[in-house]
Amino acid sequence: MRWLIAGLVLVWGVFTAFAYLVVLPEEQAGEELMRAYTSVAEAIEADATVAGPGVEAKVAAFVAAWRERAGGALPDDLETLWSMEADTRRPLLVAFREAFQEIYGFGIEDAPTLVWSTDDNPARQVQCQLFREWHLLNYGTPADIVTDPSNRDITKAIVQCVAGKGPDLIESYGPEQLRQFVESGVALDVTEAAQEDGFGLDMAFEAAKPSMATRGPDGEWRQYAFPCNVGYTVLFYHQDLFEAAEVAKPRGPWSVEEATATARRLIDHAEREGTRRFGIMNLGAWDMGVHAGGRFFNESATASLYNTPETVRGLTAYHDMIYRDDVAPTPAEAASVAAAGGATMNAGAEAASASSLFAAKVAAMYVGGRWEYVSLAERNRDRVILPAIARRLAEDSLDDETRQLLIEARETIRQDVLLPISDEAHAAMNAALTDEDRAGLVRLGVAHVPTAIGAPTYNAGARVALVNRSSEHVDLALRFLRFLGSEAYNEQINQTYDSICGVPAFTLDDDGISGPPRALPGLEEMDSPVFVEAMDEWARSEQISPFITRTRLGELVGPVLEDLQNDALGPAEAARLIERRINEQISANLRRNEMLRGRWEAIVGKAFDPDPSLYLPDQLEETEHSRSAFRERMLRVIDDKQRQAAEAAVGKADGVSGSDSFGSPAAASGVTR
Amino acid sequence: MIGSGRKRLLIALLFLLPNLAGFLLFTAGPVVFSLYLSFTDTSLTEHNRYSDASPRWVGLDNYARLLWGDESVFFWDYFWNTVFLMIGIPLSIFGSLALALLLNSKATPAKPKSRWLLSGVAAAFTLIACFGTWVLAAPDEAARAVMSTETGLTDLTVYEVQTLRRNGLTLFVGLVGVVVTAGLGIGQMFFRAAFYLPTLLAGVAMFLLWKTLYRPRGGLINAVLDPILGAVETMVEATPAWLWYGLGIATAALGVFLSVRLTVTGVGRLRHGDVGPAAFGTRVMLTLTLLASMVGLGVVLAQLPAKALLPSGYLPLTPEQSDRALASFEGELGGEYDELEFTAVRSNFERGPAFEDLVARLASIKSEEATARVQRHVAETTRRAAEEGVLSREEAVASVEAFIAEFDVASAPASQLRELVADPDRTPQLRVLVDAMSVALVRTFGERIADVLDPLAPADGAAFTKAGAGRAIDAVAEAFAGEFEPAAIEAVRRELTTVAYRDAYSQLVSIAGEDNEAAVAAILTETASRDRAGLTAGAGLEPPEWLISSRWAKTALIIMGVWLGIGGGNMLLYLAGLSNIAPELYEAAAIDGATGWQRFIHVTWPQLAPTTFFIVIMSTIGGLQGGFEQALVMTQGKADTIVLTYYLYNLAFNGNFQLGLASAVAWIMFAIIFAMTAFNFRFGSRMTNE
Repeated sequence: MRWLIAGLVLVWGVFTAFAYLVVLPEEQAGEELMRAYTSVAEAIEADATVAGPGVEAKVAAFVAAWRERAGGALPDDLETLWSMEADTRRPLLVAFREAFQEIYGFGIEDAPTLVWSTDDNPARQVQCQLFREWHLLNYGTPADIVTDPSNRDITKAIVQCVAGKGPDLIESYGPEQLRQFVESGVALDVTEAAQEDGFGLDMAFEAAKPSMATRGPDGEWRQYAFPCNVGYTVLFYHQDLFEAAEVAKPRGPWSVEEATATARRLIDHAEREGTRRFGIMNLGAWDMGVHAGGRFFNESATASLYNTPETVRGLTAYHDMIYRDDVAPTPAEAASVAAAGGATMNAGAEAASASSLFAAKVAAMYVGGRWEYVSLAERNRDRVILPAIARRLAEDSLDDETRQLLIEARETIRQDVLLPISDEAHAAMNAALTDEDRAGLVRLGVAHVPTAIGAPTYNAGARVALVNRSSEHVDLALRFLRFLGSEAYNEQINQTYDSICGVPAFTLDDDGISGPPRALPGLEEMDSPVFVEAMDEWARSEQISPFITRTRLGELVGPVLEDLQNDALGPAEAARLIERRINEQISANLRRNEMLRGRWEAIVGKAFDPDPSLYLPDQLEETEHSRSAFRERMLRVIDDKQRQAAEAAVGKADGVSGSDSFGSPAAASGVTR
Repeated sequence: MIGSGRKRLLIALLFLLPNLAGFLLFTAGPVVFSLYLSFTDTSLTEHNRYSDASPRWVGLDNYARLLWGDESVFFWDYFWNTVFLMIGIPLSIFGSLALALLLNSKATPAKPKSRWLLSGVAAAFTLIACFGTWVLAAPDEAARAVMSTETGLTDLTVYEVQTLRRNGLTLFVGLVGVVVTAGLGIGQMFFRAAFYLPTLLAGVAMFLLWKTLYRPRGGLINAVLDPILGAVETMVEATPAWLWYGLGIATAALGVFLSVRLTVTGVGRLRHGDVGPAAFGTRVMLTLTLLASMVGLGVVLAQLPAKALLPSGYLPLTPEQSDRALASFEGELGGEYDELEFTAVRSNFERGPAFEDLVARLASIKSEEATARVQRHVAETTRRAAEEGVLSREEAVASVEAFIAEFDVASAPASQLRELVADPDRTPQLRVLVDAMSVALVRTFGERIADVLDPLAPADGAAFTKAGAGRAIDAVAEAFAGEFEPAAIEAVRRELTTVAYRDAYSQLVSIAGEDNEAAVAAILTETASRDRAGLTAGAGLEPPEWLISSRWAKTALIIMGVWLGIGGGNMLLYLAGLSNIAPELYEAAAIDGATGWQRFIHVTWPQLAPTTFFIVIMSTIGGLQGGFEQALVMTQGKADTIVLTYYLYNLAFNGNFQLGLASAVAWIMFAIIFAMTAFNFRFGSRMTNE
């Protein structure tokens, strides 16, 4: 036995030594930087003005050193490196590393490297490469970046950072997470740097500001981050279902009543065909209350004034859609049609499983995000487009040029639905689809989310990158934030359907949302300007309060809305309960925390009465934070939004011949007065 | 000899040093630190290297907040959730014991030849069963072109759905057969390993599997429950209600009788010294459980039929009841609310449907009938079923004209139909034509209804009041006597002319204030009609919504916990305990003429007392600490499934970072577990020794 154990240990040791000494993984390091250098050199050669001051000379000097080290093996056209075999390229990589050492005085392993804790989306690698190229193009010096998906969680990030060991760049989602990073001292204040380097607050969408910056006691915004993208959801619908039912396709702005009537007609049509289908899916009670003009807090966030007629109207609309009008699924129905491990309750029907349900036409309309393009495109690709291309390629009569284009399209989309296809290949792919093929596609339409007041509201947040104040590469990290404001990065976000970018200047071009590749057939509406309109004109940031954490807010509100979703509570009662619970919690926090109490009193302008029997909003009477003053201002806001919506809705209805716009109940009965 | 005592001690400590150092550094140290944290207001975001503030000593403030302060609502709610989930522990223990007894019995032949013979027979039966299932459940070839209409399966053809079901059923039959075959062939060892398997599988995987099983529609559990409940419903509806009342009362009475008898017997035995107080206590607990179960069953049985004994709620308020309620409200609470708001509430109560909505709603009653009539018409005129493909333009035009004439279709929908079939470039599919004709028929009916309603409609295009809508519906029902199902008309009336009890309640309370909640409740209970629907009324007996429903989610977790716990470590401990019981005891009992049950009560159960004692203690400790993974994976804390450990995690890490408060939760849990363990030791060991 002891000889067996010794033998096993010996074998293990040999393999380990082999892996470390012979495989030489560090020989592969630097390939990304090498790619950056070749891209930048080619870009400068094409147009020298793209480079920053002095960069052309630096890059040229580096390439010269590289050529010298490569002993003439380096091709004149550096881009051809990447079509070489890996074995052929390896000596050039070695030469690159040697030139790197010579020029910069340190090895590639010691190149300044940022650690970016982000998700493991494949697009991040493309964005990292873009950063390497961008940095080289703008500054003439190398910078590397690696992603760290395993430490994305906010708890891990804060714990690591306060321990002095955190990533250089941390992602934060929404105002509450930013507040936690700022309060913990982890986030670096970049206000002055942003002003100097041109990635200030004014570059981003207005609704994204609270996700990037916090407002101090003096009312001044202090910036801590810059958006990677902005997140919100719009309404998707199946164009073919609308056409079959002869219902006018929506675009919005439109009201819940109109949406309900439309959904009803679609459901009735489906039932006549013997299919059970939901009208609309994934609308949430939380959002609908806010969309109707409800607010969890007053403007100063000193108390909750959630129980208003506007909120009740929104919650009633949500409840009625499920239980009176039967156009949206109950939580049980939504959970039933969800795949295992995927969706949760009605409004929480999440990501992949919910979009696959929508793709399977379980619902005619669905509230989702632009990021769902990938799953829908893959479905169209696998079920319709690739078989259509294969069928066309099998035809003897096909000319060579078209054949080549179809093969190009096929190989590209097989690899990744997000890769750009040439216009000619895209046209050939489209031409290969018959009417029957098109009937099998998911043909998506995009519209504004309906609301109880008829004017859209989007609770938008931003995924932002902030700098760890303990980072060893603060200057480089700040340059990364500047990179996030660049055209190249923002176009890449748009191209990969990662929602839309956070900089309005780079969102639209003449064809819709900016940048190739063109969407696959059926999903052209994913480039609709509705996405930008939503963010530009109708989005607002989620409201938070310094007097109650977002987590505790969720713990208080969640069970009540759950009861509403399950028809165990009415809308008015839900609104009343929610307001009471939030105010009780704020009062408890103020009683306990002296600093918080001082802050509250400074805002309100009067002393806080700790008597537990005194209702918090009652303490705000006769101040500008009172319920009546708040309601008056909110009603004005609602009026303005409705006026704006009415103007926007004119001429935007896309009717189907023979039917009324939006499919009102009157149209369903054929009767009008 | 190693040396003096002190030297020996030193050597021993040196050997233990690595372990001790690890324990002190990684276990004892953090435990002591967490105790310190529990007396401070430490927050990760406020007290770290970047902050000038230091944690403040708050003494017992964290404990006070949790036990009776602002966090007490959450703490006690989650504590009772934890305790509730422990209901499954006795079931799991008894289940493990039963399983161990079964696995300890000689169910399979001892001789290998006999086992293999039986195994061969079982294998043959399995093959026959699989083949039979495959043949009998063969999909319908004609359904290849028909798309499925089942929710969630509309992407597949009926043939594909049937194929999937056939494959699944065959697999299931085969699996059962393989288990029986292998068990007979290998013996008890196979069954022991099979029952132990769930314990080896990753917890998260099991939770996700159970989440699928618990799907309210389409989950396996409800798929099995649905037909059973449907059969019960049919049986109840086919039998007189008094039978179920009698059965319910008899069951409850029997439960009371048995409980009294058991208690009296137990008291007698206690007085005579046959049993000790601990055993008597156990008897009392079991008796109470029996009483609660049988009385509960009796209530359920009595509630099954419609018009059951106990009212289940309140019906929606009719317009007359709404008026009475508002009048009472004004009279009793006048001056305690804002008049404008009261006017708004009155308006909500009175406001009924718009003219067009009422017409549409009444017309939609005829939708199904319209479709059926159209399908018959199309079949007669085209001699094809509605699913069959595309008509020629001439066929379509002829069918439409015949339809318009036969059903006297109104002019507007008739024009649309003609337009649909007139386009030479567009020959509609038969299904589209059937659909368009159905809509036209409903619209025609709508116009007839509108003609009846027009004189009754409010002026200036205003909406009906609820009372007015009720009168309008009566007029329509009279004008179209015999054309509407009474139930359908009543459904429309209920929907459009009543105010839901709960909505009335919440609207009145919102203007009167919470202080007047009791008065509002009194006004409405006096005014509204009680609903005496039984369990089989309305929607009938529905399977539970399990993880979605806060009423059933914890029960679902208990059932899963029992299933997971039965075949696990407890079963192994009992198997070991059973193998340690001296066979002479059983022989002696057999000689004395003891039955199987008497042998269990007087030999097996007492001999297993130490094992049971250990299992109860460990299960209690585990139960108080458990529920975290289930809450995280299966419900994300929704449906009232948050337990103390999940609460602790939320406080410490999930956005709150309140380390001081979370540590206090941990130490309170420690105190509870310690107290319960001490209680178990004190009274449980006494039972063990009796």
